[in-house]
Amino acid sequence: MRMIRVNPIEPTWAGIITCAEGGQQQARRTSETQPEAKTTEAENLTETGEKLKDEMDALIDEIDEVLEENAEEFVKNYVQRGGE
Amino acid sequence: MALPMIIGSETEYGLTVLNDPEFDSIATALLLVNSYNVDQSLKLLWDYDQEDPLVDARGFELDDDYDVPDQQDNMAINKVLPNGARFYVDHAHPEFSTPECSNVLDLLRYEKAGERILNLSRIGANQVLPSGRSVIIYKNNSDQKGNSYGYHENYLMDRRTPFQSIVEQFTAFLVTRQVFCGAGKVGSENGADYVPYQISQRSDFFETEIGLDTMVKRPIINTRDEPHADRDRYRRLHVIVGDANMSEYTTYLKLGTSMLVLYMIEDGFLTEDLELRNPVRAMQAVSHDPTCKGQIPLKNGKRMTPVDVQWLYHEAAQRYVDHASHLDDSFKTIVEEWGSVLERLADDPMQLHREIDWVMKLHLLTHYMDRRNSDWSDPRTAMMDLQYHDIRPDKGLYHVLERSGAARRVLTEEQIVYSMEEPPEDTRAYFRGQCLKKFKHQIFGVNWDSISFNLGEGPIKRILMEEPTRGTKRHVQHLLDRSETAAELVANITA
Repeated sequence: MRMIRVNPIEPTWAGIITCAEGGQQQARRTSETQPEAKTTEAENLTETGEKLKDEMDALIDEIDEVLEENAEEFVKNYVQRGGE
Repeated sequence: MALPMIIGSETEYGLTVLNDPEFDSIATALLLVNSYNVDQSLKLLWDYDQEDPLVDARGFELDDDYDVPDQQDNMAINKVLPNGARFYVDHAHPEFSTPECSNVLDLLRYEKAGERILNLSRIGANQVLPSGRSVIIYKNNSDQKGNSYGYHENYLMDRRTPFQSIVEQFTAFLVTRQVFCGAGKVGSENGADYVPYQISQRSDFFETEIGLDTMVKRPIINTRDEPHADRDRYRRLHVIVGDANMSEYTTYLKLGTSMLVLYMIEDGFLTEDLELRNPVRAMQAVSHDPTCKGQIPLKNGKRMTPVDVQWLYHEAAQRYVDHASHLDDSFKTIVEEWGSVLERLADDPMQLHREIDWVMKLHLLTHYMDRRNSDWSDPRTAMMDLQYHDIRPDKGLYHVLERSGAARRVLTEEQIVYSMEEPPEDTRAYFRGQCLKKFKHQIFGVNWDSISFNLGEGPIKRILMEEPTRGTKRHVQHLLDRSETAAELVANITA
């Protein structure tokens, strides 16, 4: 990919699906060959899950902070004339 | 071989005034276009003489009256910017038309620069409103009450391309591209069946397959034949079905794939049988199905998912970019990205929660509803749908996602800021923009294909620019450098 620039900031809450799946695969592979590592992997996975959950919670909190007050009234009053 | 394709987009923004439910939308739009930081002493007209919006690509002309504003109004509602763009009032909305661009990444950066320009106008406008009131601007296409306003793409094509080929080969592409172009919408409107969430803002509003209208009985293929260029050489395809996107990546893919498909149509490269049995019904069915798994009927009796229809176009495009020597490598990147997005759509669309607007919005809404124990009928859900499109960096929900790294970027902030002031270098927009910088007080009128000067004595001198690939930096820099005044410029051109 030459033309597309990815934001230098690492994805936070957006990584939920891909990160969790990758983590599980990693855990499975390790469990076949190194049973003693299982606990650490599981702990890491839990940590990753907790971190993503925290990030999602932070994002939802931020949404609540910026969301217009009196949503019902606001949306009801948003009426446009047709354009084009 | 296809001609180089010049492209542009037009965005009509929705607006409201906080704490003023009685606000006048036309007056507010007018305030906005006059609040951007342009030289207010400038007296230049938008040159409507060159416009012909009632001509139809099928070969006939309507006789409706077309209103041309008087000079005072003309100056108030039209601003031509040094980056080559037009910022104006269209009906009751502020509208931003990008300068002419030669490639997708340029068009993307001008469209995003437009959002920043609207935001600066908003800040300017707020300074003259009574305290407690402020303008809010949305880059979306519907008020959720049956009123839609447009986002239009323009692709300049070879006049020799039969219009019938465009109708037959482009319609199915437009109907199915929604799956990666939609901006997402809570609910349905305009008499459509209820759905809690749908892919496109616009699809409930399309009622016919082909026609000249843009405001009523909207057609999937618009027939306006107004090239703003040499009419014998070019046709400007005016695409009105698209959603205005917030995501840079979605916009990039929408413009890139559309441009590529139109190149293939121009070159007669598409041989696949791609006609839909009922495009209008399919438009709505595709939008109403966020699983992207429902099938739509083709004329040949087959039924296919929208993603599979897109795969047919994609496979042709893959072969096309491998052989078309006139296309640069950026088109190979577009084909790669397109394929990668189609794979994920076929598998699970939610994987595109960093890339595609309708998925980003849906992902946010479902997580919010889950955490706050709310549902589709909660007013906060409709509020979030609207506020996703708020162009304010601190309040817009798309901007919240972008800031937290949850939106895939294509551009840098520097590219966008640069594009607010500087025109593209490789189209006639360069000449327009540079004249606005250097000779602004002598300019009398501007249109896409002309610029005219008032030199103080003698008649107005109009320079025609019927060829949009001329007037580039390479063509005119020397001319601009050796012309100290507008009079010298005109003399040097006519010498």
